[in-house]
Amino acid sequence: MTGSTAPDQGGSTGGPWPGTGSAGPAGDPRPGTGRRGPPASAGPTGGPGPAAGTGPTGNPGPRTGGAGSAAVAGRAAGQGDTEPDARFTFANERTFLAWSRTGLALIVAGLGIVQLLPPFPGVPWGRHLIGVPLIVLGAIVAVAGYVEWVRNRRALRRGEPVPRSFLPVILTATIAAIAVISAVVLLLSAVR
Amino acid sequence: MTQPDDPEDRDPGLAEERTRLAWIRTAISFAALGVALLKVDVPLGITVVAMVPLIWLTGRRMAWHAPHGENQPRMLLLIALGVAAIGIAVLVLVLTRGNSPGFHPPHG
Repeated sequence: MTGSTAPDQGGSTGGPWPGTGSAGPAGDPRPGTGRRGPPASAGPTGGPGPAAGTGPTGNPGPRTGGAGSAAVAGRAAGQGDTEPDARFTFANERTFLAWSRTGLALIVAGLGIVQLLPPFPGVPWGRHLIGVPLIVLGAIVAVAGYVEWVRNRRALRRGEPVPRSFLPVILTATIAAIAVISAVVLLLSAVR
Repeated sequence: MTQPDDPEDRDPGLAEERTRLAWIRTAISFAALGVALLKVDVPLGITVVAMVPLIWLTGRRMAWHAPHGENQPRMLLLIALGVAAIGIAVLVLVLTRGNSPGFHPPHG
């Protein structure tokens, strides 16, 4: 982390904005995470435009470590959006892929329960009651994973804090409900 | 756009490799589901298996062009919709096909 940060700060020192080179590293309380920049330490505007690097706090842009890269990215985008650190983009992409796989796994689990499990004695609809919510949840998780990817991407580009994910709540609630349903089905099957 | 002098942008370290492995895992997941679906519904299974090279190639393309790929949102949306479509197809399959006898392992 430190090895990769040092040349970054050196680059900002050599940039055409002289004020940032000295104030940037000193004003940033967390050199290792300087590229992400916590929202509290961001400039008043929070905008990653060319002016952000020379803000009153002396803190470099929200995500980009050096004033030079912030200015280049801001100029290229023309708007408030800048290309975030590649590592965050990759991490966001991996998160999307992980949610996709979770969705696929849920669909397989639902299919397996309905098609492969022997029917519950006395509860002919028991397998569907357990499997169908899993399949529906799998489809929802896949689409929601994409929605979250878009939201996170936008937040990363604008330097805003990453929005809170609503997927864990959905997943946890549905799996807990399926556990209750399974218990009820098993009990009914045992009673009859 | 990146600053060519920035070593972190030139070499994002292991993040790219992790992402490539995640893509491969995803493709393998699709392959596993596709093969499992072949046992239940052959056309659906073939469709899912046919998606595997698409995902594999998308992952490779992402690794080359990321994070600046312009068509990235479209491809990821396609994958998400693909998973959702598989879910809906499996749902229809499960609801329309009568009660399955279930899998009984042979014992002797």
